[in-house]
Amino acid sequence: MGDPSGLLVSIIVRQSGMQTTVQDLGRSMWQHIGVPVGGAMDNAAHRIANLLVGNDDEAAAFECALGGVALQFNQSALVAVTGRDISASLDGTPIPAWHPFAVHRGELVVLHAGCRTTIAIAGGLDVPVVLDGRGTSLRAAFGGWHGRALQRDDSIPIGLPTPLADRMSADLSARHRIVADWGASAAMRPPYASKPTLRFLPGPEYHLLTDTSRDVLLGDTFRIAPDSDRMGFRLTGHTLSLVTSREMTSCGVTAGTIQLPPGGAPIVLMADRQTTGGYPRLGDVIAVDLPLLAQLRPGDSFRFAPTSLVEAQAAYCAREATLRHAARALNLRFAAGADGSR
Amino acid sequence: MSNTIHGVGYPGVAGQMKPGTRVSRKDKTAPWATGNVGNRLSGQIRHRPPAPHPSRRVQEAMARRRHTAAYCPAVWPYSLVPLGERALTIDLSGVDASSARALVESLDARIRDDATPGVTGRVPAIRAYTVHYEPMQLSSDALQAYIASVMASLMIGTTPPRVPIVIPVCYGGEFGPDLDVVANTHRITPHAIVAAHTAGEYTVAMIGFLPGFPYLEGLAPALHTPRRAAPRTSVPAGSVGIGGTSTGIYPCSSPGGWQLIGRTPRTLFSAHRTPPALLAPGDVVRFVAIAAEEWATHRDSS
Repeated sequence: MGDPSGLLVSIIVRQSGMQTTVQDLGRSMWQHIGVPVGGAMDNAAHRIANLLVGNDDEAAAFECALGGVALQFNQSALVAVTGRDISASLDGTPIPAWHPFAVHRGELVVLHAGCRTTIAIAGGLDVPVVLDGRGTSLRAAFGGWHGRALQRDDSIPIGLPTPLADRMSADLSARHRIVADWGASAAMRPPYASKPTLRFLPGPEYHLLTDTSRDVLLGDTFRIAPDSDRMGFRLTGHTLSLVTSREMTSCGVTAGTIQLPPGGAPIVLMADRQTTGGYPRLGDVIAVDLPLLAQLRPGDSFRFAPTSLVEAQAAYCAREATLRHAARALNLRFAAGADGSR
Repeated sequence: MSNTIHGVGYPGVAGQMKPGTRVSRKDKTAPWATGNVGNRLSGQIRHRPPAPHPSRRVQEAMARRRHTAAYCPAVWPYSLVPLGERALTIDLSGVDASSARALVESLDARIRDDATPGVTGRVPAIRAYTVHYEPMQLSSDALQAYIASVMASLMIGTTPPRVPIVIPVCYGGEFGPDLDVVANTHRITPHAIVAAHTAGEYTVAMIGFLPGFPYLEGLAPALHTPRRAAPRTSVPAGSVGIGGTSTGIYPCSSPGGWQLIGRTPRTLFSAHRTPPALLAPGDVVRFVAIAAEEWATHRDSS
């Protein structure tokens, strides 16, 4: 690869945290043979982080569960950190989330705390493409970095930054800045909350809930159970029951599907969900609200609220439009030939 | 069950449209061009098939013809169930069991070949089929209209008999820790369980649960065994299990609740191989017992 300095173009994992994986936006086209879609749990944070460092939004980046992650850079790079409740530093100096910053060779980026944090690097993580994706499929142990979560001393290669990223970096250094004075505005970020309300579309077995259970689902708060993972969030606080048990055959499920296993404790399927499921389907958390759920920690609570397909698609299209607009705005601001200082 | 498809040109029972007729999607006069608007909160979009369900007499006539001709389109009963705002399940529970698998296969082939922009994933199941889509590229109305047009022209026919794929299995012992449990459940010897399991011919009903995991139909009723009360936290890759009325093979190490009767040295799934999954829906599978010493000779070379 074109590494002018002749040095290894990579990042060394000094501390791997609870679970740090390489993720992209998933591999949807292999579901017919049972391959989980996977990809970033909070795909909005992932895409925005990539935009901030001049990448395509599906470029591979780190996803860190909670904190305790330290990454040493073997080369200079433009980096962005996104997610909820983030505490991060660059060689000991605190740095803000949602703003790109310049890292120089040898410096250490530390994520002290967070929920489900994306760390994106200009050029993206240059891991092999497997089944049309670079994300880690933990269950089947392929993709990402050797199909597993990162460990201490792993050395992850970085791709070539885009011309846009180069212009962003040049702009920072011309103005003697480490952290950019621009970033993702609050309006652009997902509206994270410590106790969010998640909208859902009622599913085929929703009408089989007992009256009491429906009232609980719509009115009470649920908590994230400790044994939740990238496959699904188990909910505690209430058990729900159906008026009749229904003979189910397995069929397709999606990220956000609210399943009701026999025990009565609902599960919300997340990024690494299996492709099919055989439990009653109470509904599906809408796509734009999944990032809010992805950023909850075990013990955190939230509420459900029903919505309609029309509203859900309107919200989805509005978010997509916002992200596309942001990408265009960045391209204009750092257009080739512009001096970059506005 | 030995004839090939002679579908194209067979006059449909409903009489309006020949099987295989492809109507331009720009034809605004086509019945499916007016999209359905779903009942928003019930979660269920009822779709009225373009032609009434065939009478028993017509069904019998079609069943007789199935040996030589493709099954008629335009009469498949189905309903559309939104699965969130980016996926739609085609519920085929109204289709009789004998046609369902061929119908799902035919549907999958059609949707795969059409490669409609905005269709981002497909999940064939036993009597259901899920389409994942990107709403910015494909509206849910347009998708429903597309599915209606596909359903109106789907054909199934008798497929040529498939050569069984033989899966070697080491039964019992450390490879199949639950073989004795299954034998005790049915009050027969472990040897008789192995004999019954290897005597059967199985069809892959669907792939799901894990990458390349086949749900196999055709388990002898004498082998039906409930799942374990407490699922194992880790089942080794290649394990052959019985879960209720199904038998299946774990392609990768996973938690699992099926009764494990043996293990195969074959690799059911590898992301680095083409195709990645050893088995596909509709494949016919037979099991053959091998000794532990033969394990290495049956491994996939890779």
